[in-house]
Amino acid sequence: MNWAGLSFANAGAWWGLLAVPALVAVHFFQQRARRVELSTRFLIEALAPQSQGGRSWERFRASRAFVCQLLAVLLLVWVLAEPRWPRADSTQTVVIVLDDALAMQAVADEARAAARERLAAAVGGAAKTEWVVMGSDPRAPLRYRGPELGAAQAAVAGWRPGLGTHDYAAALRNGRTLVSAGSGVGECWLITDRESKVPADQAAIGVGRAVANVGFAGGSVSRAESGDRMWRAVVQNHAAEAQRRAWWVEGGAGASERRSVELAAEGVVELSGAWPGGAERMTLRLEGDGFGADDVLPLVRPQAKRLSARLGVTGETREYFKKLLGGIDGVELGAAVSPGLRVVEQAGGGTEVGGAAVVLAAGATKSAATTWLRVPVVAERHALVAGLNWQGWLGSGAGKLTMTANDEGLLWQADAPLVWLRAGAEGARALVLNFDWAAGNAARLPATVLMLRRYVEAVRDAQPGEYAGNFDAGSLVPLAEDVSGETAEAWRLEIEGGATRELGAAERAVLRAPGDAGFFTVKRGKETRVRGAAQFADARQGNFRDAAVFRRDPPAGERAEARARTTQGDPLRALWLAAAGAALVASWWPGRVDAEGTRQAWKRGRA
Amino acid sequence: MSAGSETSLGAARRDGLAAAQRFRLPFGGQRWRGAAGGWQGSGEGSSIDFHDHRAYAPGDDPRHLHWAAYARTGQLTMKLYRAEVAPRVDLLVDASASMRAEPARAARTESLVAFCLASAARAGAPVRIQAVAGRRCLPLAEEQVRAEGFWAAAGEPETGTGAVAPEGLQGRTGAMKIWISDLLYPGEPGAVLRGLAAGGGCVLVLAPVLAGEAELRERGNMELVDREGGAARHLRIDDGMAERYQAAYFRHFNLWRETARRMAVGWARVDSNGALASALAGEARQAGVVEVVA
Repeated sequence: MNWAGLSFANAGAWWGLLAVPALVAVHFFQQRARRVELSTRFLIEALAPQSQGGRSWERFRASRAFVCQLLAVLLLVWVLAEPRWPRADSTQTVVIVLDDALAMQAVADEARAAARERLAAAVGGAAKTEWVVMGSDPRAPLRYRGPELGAAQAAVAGWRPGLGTHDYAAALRNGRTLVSAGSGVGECWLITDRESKVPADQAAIGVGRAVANVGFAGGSVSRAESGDRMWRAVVQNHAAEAQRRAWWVEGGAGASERRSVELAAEGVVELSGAWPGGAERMTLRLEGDGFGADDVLPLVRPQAKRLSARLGVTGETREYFKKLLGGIDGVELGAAVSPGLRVVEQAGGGTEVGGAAVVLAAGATKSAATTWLRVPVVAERHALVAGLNWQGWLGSGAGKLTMTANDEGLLWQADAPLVWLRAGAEGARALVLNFDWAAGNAARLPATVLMLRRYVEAVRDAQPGEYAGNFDAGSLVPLAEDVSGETAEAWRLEIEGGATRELGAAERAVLRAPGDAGFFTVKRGKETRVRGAAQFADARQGNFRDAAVFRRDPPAGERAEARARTTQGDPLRALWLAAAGAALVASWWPGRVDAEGTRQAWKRGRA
Repeated sequence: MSAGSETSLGAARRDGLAAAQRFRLPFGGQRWRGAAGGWQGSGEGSSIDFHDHRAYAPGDDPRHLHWAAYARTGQLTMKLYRAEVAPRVDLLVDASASMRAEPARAARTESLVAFCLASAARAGAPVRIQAVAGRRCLPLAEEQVRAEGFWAAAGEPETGTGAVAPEGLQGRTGAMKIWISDLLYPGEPGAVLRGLAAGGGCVLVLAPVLAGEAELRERGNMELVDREGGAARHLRIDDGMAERYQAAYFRHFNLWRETARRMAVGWARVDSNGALASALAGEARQAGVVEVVA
């Protein structure tokens, strides 16, 4: 008999084995000596002359009834357990979805062990098995898909979670699709740490455990009113009890002295301090606990890209834009021949500025005879004007500039466009302000200021160049491609203390900061483009109060159906049943010779 | 004995008397010594059965001269005839606890005693009865046994002695010695039979047996109590032990049968169940322990 792949459809039948100790107990008590008077004891003395005591230990010797009943119980349990062997032509797909959430780092070893256990448990479920190991990150490729169990286990061993809170539905849907797309038989298991993450009817194994975690919930670098840079960090206690932790700063001249912070139960404390002099970056550290991902907060001193700007306007308008642009990081006003941004005036007709520019409608002048147009200003759905309030707009209506079909309108007054974007050379776009700038209150309207800042910042960030910033772990890292002069120089992402990898064009479009807190650099060739710090920012990942160990099996109906399709029952089931019945009959058969047998024995005795 | 037992023993005596209508003790095949009776003696007598010739001696009864021989030879020759005697019967009955513990065997013993007494009475043979319990022999009055039955006359047995072979079993010279016993005691049968056979005569052994005794019906742990001595012992009885027991049981009786055959002793087991006449018609009749009444 081939025992490989043996499984049991009715595991509850093993409870029947409890009948064995019960049987032993029954026989134990039944085997108490019965008193029998004999006239032929002298014959027995000759047969068993030694002190072969019957009560003390002979009770453990198996009697025929005991052996038969024991055999019957074992056979019945075997039959009731419904042993099944894989069909020769059966296939199954086993999908392991590993929770990529950062919180899983606290129980990564347990998760890997659970995954390996599930893989091992599925061995023999069918003649052929396709193993799939994947993360819950819907953007990540499958870690392994194929027939090799060893490779699947290696994929599990290489798994490392680092994602923030995310939706599991896509990955689980993908996993179940892989099962149904194969033979339609198999299982899709989610290995996670919290039952709340598991959708209904999803098989899952929980390996979570409660951790009294205290960690950074975010950090930033800002300018004080004095102009000095300050760092700020939020520390959160996720535990239900008050906690005390030591913290310190590493950076600049070295590590600071340790200080402690007291946090009430579920409390939040903000830490702040002056940016270390001369340092480009610093690291805040907390005394370690069971979850280390949020015990470190790396920060870089933010540095925007440099954008050269030239003002082509005069008077109050020039002063306005000079003040506006001077308040935006990275913008340098000057007289460059080819500035990144220009502010110009145009009299009318089409606007052909060639690059990024703020184009003002020229020719209008502020006068007492200005007629105010009372029609409300309406904004298009666009990032530059999103959320801005134009209620207080006061102006004389649209100017003489004309909007073409390729332009993208932003503000309208009645049927006339007030502001639009016009595509320029090399992907640059100009912001056209088609109204009398001096006549209305646009310059004093906050919405106008914000719109202009957004535009300038968008122009600044869209150009190639180096910048430094602090990012949430896993968040998008904007990269500006070189529109012209494209070279074969490769893009690389260098993670400090980690791997360095090349970035393809597709990945550059959606480059994300590393999942773990730390510093990283993006380079193009030898040219640095981004100096960044990825910081733990998803406070939900640090809360382990609902982490638990649990197991949610697939619906019993599904499992039974899958088992029926991939396995076959014991062909000797009827034989075992008959044998069990025979054993029971034999156990009940009187243990003595019948009358005819006695007569035959007497005849033999006489012979 | 209880009232029920006495009723059963009374029926057993009647059963023994009924068996005596069909069978008798084997008086016919023997040469007896004793007082004048109706059975051939071992010497010369006055019966009509020719025994031998011899020369006439003065004092011989002239009625027994062989005149035909004198006519042929001229020598006086005497015709000798067998003596006719009444045989003596010594009835020795095992009165140990094992004989009376089983009602069927006790009843069979009672019927056998009644059979022997009735058969001896028909033959005109005087009977001497002894109840044997272990090493003790208790003479019983024949009249009492006939009137009250054997067990009533034997009284309560001696207990606590265990199953022991009887010692000193003897009968009168030339008598028919009948040993009624279940033979359930250890020891070599020849010792008992030699004692009985001493002094000549005829030795018969009747063993009332129980068919069920040949096997151990129960299985498992047993507290085996000896009926003879009351001693107990714990032992597990399984199929193997039961088979060995049965073999030992038959080996025990085969040893008795072979020893009896070798010593020309009439030996037969008598089933304790059923009518005595039916039981005697089997092994006892075939072994010549009883004869069919003509």
